[in-house]
Amino acid sequence: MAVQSALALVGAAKQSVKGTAGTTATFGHGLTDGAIMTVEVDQSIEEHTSGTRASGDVNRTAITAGVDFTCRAHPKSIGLWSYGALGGIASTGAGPYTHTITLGSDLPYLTTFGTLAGNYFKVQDVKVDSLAYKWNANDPLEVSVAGMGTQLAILASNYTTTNDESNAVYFTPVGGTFSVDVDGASGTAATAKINGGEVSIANNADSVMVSGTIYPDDIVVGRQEVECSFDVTPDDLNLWRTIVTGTSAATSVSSAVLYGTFSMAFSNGTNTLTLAATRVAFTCDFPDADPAGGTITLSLAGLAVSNAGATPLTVTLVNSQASY
Amino acid sequence: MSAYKFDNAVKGEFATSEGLVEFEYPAGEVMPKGDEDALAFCLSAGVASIVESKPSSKKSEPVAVADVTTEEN
Repeated sequence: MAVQSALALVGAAKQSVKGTAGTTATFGHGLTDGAIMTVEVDQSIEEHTSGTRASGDVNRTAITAGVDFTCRAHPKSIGLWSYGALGGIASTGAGPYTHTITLGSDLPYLTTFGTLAGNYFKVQDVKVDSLAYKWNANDPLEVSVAGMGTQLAILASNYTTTNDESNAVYFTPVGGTFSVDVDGASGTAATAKINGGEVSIANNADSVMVSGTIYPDDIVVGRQEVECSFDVTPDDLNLWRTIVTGTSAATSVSSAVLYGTFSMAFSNGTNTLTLAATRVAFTCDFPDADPAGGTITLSLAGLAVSNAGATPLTVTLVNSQASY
Repeated sequence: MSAYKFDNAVKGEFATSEGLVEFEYPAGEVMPKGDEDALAFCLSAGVASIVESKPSSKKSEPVAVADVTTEEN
């Protein structure tokens, strides 16, 4: 009997400390792409000479497990994934709750869970290496998560999921608000005709291998890099002109970097998810001409950096989850 | 000395190389008590702001009428 690929779920739980895996998944949901977990086996041919022209051995040096999948942004679990990618969270309210997720000096360890057609797995000490929020027009928001962990465990039975979000409730651009300001002159991002975009977080994670153990001893993160790209249908070329010259009225190029802002708010009923940055250096290619005609699209690309020591990206989540 | 003002009660945590740092603050003004890292995180996250702390109202110290009125209001 074949293994059914549609019977796939992932889950996650925050660990209080490294080395102690969670026993139940705090959140769980389905996938739109990718795998419920990744297992990378490092092994290569033994490099020594012998009496034959072929090597007779292969060395296995590491097994690194983790996650690498794409999913919808579900109202509760997106908070844990975002916290896992940024490293800090502050929650207020008495229901609905507002979670402000920002840069931490490190990342929390997660235990990730996965099920595939009656097979159950978990990986402990996972740190989120990268996370990207991506959308096109009014298509549902898509989230790509990649993380690295230490030990893989193949479970004898299914795990419990406290908050099961596999029932297809997720954030979409419909009803949201999308704003961008390439020079920060107005102090706040202005609403723009955004056709789609992506906001990505890269933590430059790497595994620490120590002699004697086949799986990583730890996962460490490097500098956090936040990038964004937005496709905009402009009324004029002022966005491009401002980026290149410094103002919408200037006539020569500027040597100074302009820092702007963006705010992208998604909706799901009373739940909202807002991605915002206040120090973003944008670039923009000059738009192509098209013999077939039609409106131009400006593709803004930005690097979001720390603003006077503050977080480069703020994820604000309003939902019914009290805490993470 | 500066105080940290919280418009709303806040509970949260952030990750450090030494582990997770948990914090919880009520709404109002908070003076640092060895928890500067947590307060700095709240400040950078935008859930707290810095305000100048008010002088303590000991009986031996003169208290401006305007200040008392402000506190009562």
